[in-house]
Amino acid sequence: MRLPHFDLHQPSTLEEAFSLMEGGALALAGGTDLIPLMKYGLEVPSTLVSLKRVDCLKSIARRDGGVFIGAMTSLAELASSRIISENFAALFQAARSVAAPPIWNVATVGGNICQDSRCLYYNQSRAWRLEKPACLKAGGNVCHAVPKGKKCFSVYSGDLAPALAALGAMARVEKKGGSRSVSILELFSSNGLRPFTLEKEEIVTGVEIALPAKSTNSSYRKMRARPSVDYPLVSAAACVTRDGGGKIEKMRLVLGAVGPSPALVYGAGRLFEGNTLEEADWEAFSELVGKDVRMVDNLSYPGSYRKEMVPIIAARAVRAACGPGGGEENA
Amino acid sequence: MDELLHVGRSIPRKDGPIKATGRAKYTVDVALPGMLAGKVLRSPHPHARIVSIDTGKAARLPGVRAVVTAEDSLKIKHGFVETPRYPADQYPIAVDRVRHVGEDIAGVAAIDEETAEEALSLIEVEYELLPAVFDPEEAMRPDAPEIHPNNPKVDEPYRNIGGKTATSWGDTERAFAESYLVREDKFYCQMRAHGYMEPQATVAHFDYSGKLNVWTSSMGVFLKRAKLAKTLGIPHSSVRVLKTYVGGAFGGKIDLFHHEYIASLLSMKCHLPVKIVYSREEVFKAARPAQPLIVRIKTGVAKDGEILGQEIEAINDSGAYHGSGVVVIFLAWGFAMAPYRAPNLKYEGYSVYTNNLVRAPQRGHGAPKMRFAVESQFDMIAEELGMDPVEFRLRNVRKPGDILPNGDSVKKFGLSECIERVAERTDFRNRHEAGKRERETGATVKRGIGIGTTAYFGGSLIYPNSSSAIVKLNDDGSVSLLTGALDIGQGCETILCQIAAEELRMPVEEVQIYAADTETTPVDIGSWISGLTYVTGNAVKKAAGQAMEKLLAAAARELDADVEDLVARDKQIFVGHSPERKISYARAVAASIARDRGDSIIGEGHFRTMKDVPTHPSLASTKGRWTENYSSYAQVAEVEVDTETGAVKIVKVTTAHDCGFPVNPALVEGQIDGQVSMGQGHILSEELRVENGCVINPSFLEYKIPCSLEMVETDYIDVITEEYKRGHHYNTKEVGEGYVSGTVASVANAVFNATGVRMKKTPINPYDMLAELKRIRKEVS
Amino acid sequence: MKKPGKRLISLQINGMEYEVAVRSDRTLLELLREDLMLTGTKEGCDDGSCGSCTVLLDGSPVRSCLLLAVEAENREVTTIEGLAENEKLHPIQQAFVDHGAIQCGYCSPGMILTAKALLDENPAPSEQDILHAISGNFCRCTGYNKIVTAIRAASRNGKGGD
Repeated sequence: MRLPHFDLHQPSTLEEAFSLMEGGALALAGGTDLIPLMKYGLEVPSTLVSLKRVDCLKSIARRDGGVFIGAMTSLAELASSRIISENFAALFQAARSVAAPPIWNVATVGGNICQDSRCLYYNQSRAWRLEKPACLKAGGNVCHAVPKGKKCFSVYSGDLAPALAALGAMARVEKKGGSRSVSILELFSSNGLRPFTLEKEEIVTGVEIALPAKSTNSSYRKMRARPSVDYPLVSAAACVTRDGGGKIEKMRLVLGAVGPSPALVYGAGRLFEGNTLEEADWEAFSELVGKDVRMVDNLSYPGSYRKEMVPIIAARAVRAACGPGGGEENA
Repeated sequence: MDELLHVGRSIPRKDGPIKATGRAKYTVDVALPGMLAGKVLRSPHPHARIVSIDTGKAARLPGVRAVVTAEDSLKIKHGFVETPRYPADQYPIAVDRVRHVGEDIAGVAAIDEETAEEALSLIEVEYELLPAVFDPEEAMRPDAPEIHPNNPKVDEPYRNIGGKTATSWGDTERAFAESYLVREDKFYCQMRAHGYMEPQATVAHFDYSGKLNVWTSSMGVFLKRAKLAKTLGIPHSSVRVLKTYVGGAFGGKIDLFHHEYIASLLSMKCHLPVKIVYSREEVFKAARPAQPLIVRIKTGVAKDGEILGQEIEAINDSGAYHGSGVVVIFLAWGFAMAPYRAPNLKYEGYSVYTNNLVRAPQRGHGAPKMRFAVESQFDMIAEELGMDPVEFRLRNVRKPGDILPNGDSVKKFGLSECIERVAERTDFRNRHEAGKRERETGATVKRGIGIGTTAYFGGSLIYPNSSSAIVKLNDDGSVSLLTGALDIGQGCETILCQIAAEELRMPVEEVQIYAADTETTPVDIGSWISGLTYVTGNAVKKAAGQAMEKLLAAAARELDADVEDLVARDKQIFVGHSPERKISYARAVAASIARDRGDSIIGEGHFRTMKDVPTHPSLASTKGRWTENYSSYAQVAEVEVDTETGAVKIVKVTTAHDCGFPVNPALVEGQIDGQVSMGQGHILSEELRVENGCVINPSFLEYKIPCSLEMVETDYIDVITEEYKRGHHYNTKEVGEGYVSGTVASVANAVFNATGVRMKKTPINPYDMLAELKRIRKEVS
Repeated sequence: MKKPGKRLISLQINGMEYEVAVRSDRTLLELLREDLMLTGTKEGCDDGSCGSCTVLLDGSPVRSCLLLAVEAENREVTTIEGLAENEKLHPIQQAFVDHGAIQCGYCSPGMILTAKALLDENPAPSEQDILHAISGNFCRCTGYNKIVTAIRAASRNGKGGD
């Protein structure tokens, strides 16, 4: 497969990058998501603005009681950073669960967050679309996953965003002459056709996470077909604060790969508050978690099964967050 | 000369360094001056009449050098099997009709890939859509859409039954009536892809001397030459297929593939080299996947577990053409009857046309599916009888010297020894009992153990039926070995060099191999019917032996000694009782040339399996000899099942193998490891998902072959039976195909052992597994 | 969109300085295989999932099918052709040959380079470290067992390394 033709800019400052973004260009980070989409003809930008030379976006730094991670920080750096592993186990584990290690050397924090939503019927080549007409997300008017579906059920499959959302991270979004800070979940539109709320010229330049209290721990669990390479089929990030007696004071639980955006589980914290893990009402937890998500047959495992797995993976994430250091890696 | 120098040793493969350094040239690496990029236009429809094709715009696109459609071809059909009963049924470029998505309609050659792609999009094809059928059992109905209206019918009134194998012996009705227990079960195996890492690729160059030179990623060059010559309507002598390294095949690169024909046709049209390399997507949706199979088995046993009768029906969805479908229904019979006795048996196999992709054999060609079914049912029967699965198998296993219903002898068949030894090594009986208890515990992760067994043929009579080899002594006493064998990764070049070096009593490094060139190397049986080490190996042995005889004769004359008194070692020939009288190979060669009017030393050897058997067995009736050498093996798998998610993990597979004399034990281990991994993919994760003829997971991302983190620990036990020991070290048997079966069957049985869930469909997906776990939990409560 | 113009870039490949004219829409894999005829680097899937096209970029394994060629400007690329010194195999290559880690050989270049990056960073990896490092490189022939044996043999644990 050949890439479609495009012009490439490789600015070395953010200001240059913002100016170049103005004519409808696409930002290129590590490219591990965008390049295959372009080979498939699903993204056909006439101009790409590579951010790889914008060195100021590559850093993990302590800043005002928190940690700032530049968008062009590679997953390899994230996955070997002590600041991250010691404070944000969920993020650390999420980074280490992305694809396979060689991908980490190129893939970036910003790129992973802004990864396009996926579907078995969308992530296909031009030749494939001759056999089955283009779907809603590919610009057509059918949904192959849900017959007569008018809504796109593509699945957000990034690993970092659920972890960042559970950790309460904020994203820095910038464009020429403007900058805003939004919560991770606010980046998402819940619309599979265009999963992000970013304006055309905006770039996510980094994320900021407050350092957690000592009694707070987090974890990320991911179910996938194979223990490497694959995207999540269900994932869950939990951030739990407990008192000295092991009773849960606060919990934030975010699900990944359940729909077009990561999903915060409302009420999960309240359910467990004041209880130890043993005392917690796990049955109620199972009923609550994933209740509202609609999962369809558009990934390698059926939607009904993935939905069934949501509370199981979520429970594993919560238990791991209550274990030492976020528990072992991988679900 | 009793001591073996090389044969039986784990010599590192000869092509290791060239592959490790990236210098090995695969077909995808072939580049010739002026070479064009070729692309194939494929049908987007599963079944349609081609009303018209207009290639005008494509041909006029700047940079396009040639466009071909059926109108440029001689419209000669071909088939994996071509017999009066099963005549060739497939055009190499579609004529008037397409019968599956991805069928080849036209080819384009252009100065680069982009131009070729663009040209494809300019070809205008008008289709008239026809009703299609995708399920083999639906296609068997008399009223199903007819896929080949003009083909001879093998089973009227069923219009889409393209092949039928039927055989029986004894009286199954009576056997069932006399049985203590009769079980009937139906098993389903998915459609899989081979997953070779190098995509299908071909470079064809029709040069100005009128010769078509072809480099192609294949499993044997002589079959390709024959099929290209036939379909292109040119003599064999006008086609030369040359060696390239092959990046994996596993059955998926046999037979003629249409890009090979199209590249050739394009090159014949423009006299420039044309290269076609499949995208990974094309590999999954246009190259041939493996055979799916539905197996229904009815088995009757006595109270003591003796099998009294079996009725087996196998249904194969062959896809839009015969492909290897008419073969797999024959082979499935063989894999059902070879390892265990069944005094009364009735077998029917159906190969059914559908509008799915055409199939190729895949490693094991039917065995993994048939053994999955049979061995699963064995364990179900044993469970009902309260018998240990090992005892049940030992009760029925074929014994050394048994004669099969087709007249073959299993000779010194080692299966019972394999079963005993693998059971002993794994403490099977105790752990199987422990597994049963595991079912009752509340543990989330349950452990189990299971056994699976197979017998497999080694070499059979399929074109070109035999192998020849030539061994030339060079002036410096080194050796050049000429063989038509093509190493597809299994290591046959290394094995053949070991054999030549053994017979010539010289270092393996001194043997240079020239392989797989239809013009300069002798004919070879090919890397596909598990007969290469046996058939080609014996041809090389004979060739090297003849060269050695000539060399010794020359030496004897020079040394004034009797040939019987000579000893050869390290490229020197000594008189045994007075070793100071010696001559180097180089001088012996020179002496032969000087004394015998220029005779250099060349040995030739030929070998055909089953010399007295005229032809292959009947695919219709199974009558006729099948093979000389039945290998066998027993495998035990240990698994863990996560009962919350349904995920199955294979922890370890132990293999006891009776593969004859292992010429290179390290390569044998490599074959077993690879098959355990392929079996793992088969039983747990791999499935080509097709919706209305369209493959929806045509990528390595969505077609789930195992990754390193799923690696299965392996252990091996050599079971070398008497006939195959030293002194009979060229009596080799199959080792490259059948182990997939044992892995598949043993994992299915281990899953049952751990959980009580009997899966009758592969792959055992976590979602199906979980549904079954829940179902039996419900039944219990 | 018409073809973008070529750009002249410098990069180091296997210790040699190269100056090449390349279009922005070409991948590093295409540059290596088609323009420079360094065909040791293989294409297996073209979407980044199989690892056959792995090369080292400044010492780290990357998918050359997912990288634009121009992004390798002023970087150091190591391909499989750059590992052996003259005719002497690199110890990892030798271990792959000796321990049966190569069958068809198509995944071997990517696998060996991935192993090299691992051992450069961690000369004494555990089996789990090895399995993890190569988990993005598919091999269809070996089942990975002999590959792990070879990498261990080439590591300090196997008395391979330095």
